[in-house]
Amino acid sequence: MNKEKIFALILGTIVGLGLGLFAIFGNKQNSNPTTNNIDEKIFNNQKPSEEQSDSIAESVDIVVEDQKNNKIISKEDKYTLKFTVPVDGLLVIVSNYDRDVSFVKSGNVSVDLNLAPAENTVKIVLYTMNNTFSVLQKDLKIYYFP
Amino acid sequence: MRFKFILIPFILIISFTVVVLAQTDSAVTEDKKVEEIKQRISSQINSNIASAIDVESGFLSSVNQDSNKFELNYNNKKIFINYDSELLKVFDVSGSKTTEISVSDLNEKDYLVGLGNNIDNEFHVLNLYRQDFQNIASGTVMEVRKDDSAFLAIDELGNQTVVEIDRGTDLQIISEDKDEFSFQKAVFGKIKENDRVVYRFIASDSAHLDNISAEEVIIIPQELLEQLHVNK
Repeated sequence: MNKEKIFALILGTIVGLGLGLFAIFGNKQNSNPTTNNIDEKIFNNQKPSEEQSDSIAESVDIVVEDQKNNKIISKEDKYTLKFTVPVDGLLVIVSNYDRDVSFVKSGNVSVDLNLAPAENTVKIVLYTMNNTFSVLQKDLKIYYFP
Repeated sequence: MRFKFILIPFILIISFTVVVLAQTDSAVTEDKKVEEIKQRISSQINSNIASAIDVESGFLSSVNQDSNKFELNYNNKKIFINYDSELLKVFDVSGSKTTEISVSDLNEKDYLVGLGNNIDNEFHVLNLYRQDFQNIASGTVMEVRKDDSAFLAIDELGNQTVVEIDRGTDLQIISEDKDEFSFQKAVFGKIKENDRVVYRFIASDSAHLDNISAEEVIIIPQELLEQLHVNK
């Protein structure tokens, strides 16, 4: 191998290597190598919702769905209240803008309520048909913001 | 010889250029992934903002217009809410109607309901609504006081309340017809001892009251419950 060949080989290697290294490090600066880790941290590190905690705490009573600390925020001026009752009974629901009465069997119940703007105070009363004539009650606030 | 001198660096440069192009393709793929992640983060942030929407309510204790803060009181608990004077909208609520008012129209002890964001344990209100503080209670009629147009009710905790009926009170009684239940307009004379009642009233405080004036009374006759109990 003569001098020209060696010189050409070295020159080609240096120039090519230089271009390659520039491209690699240039691209690395534009992209963040830790993005995958960020992705995992954000989307996998989720705590249990408060709603789940609430439903566990209120397992023996009138249990209302979709409520957080007895508060519900509605997007419309009507709301379908969904809840479960443990026994059969006469169900009376009174709010500051609507009322409803029906006889319900134990299990799931849904009642449509008209809402006034802002805070709606709602009382659910179940006069049970068991031997003790007991009364189950639930107080709720439903908020509607027009 | 001179041809080889030019050819060898040319081949090497081409080789490294291929490497560069490969890196560029890889960078494009990574850029796409970064965009996707950005969109997911943005969507997550929006979702967090939505879940941060909350409501605070209470009786107005004070307004500090210099520091843009309201102090509310509910069940002896103080609630501090911040507002932006440029963004805040205040409404008065009457039935289904809302009327825009200003902060200066608010008075001490007004019952206020604020819609806003709860971020880092600080509530930032966007819309504020002034309305009556509505209470709904239930109990059993212990005594009917015809001369006073009132009855004495006792609740499940043993609290006694004198419930006054006036001309504006919406008095309703529950009746049954072929397993269908409905509300019927009633008069004071329909109320009897041992009937169950659910009554709604407006208060200026969240504490229990011994005497209230009812806005609405629902009467559940004792005989209706007994009949249901037998039949069901």
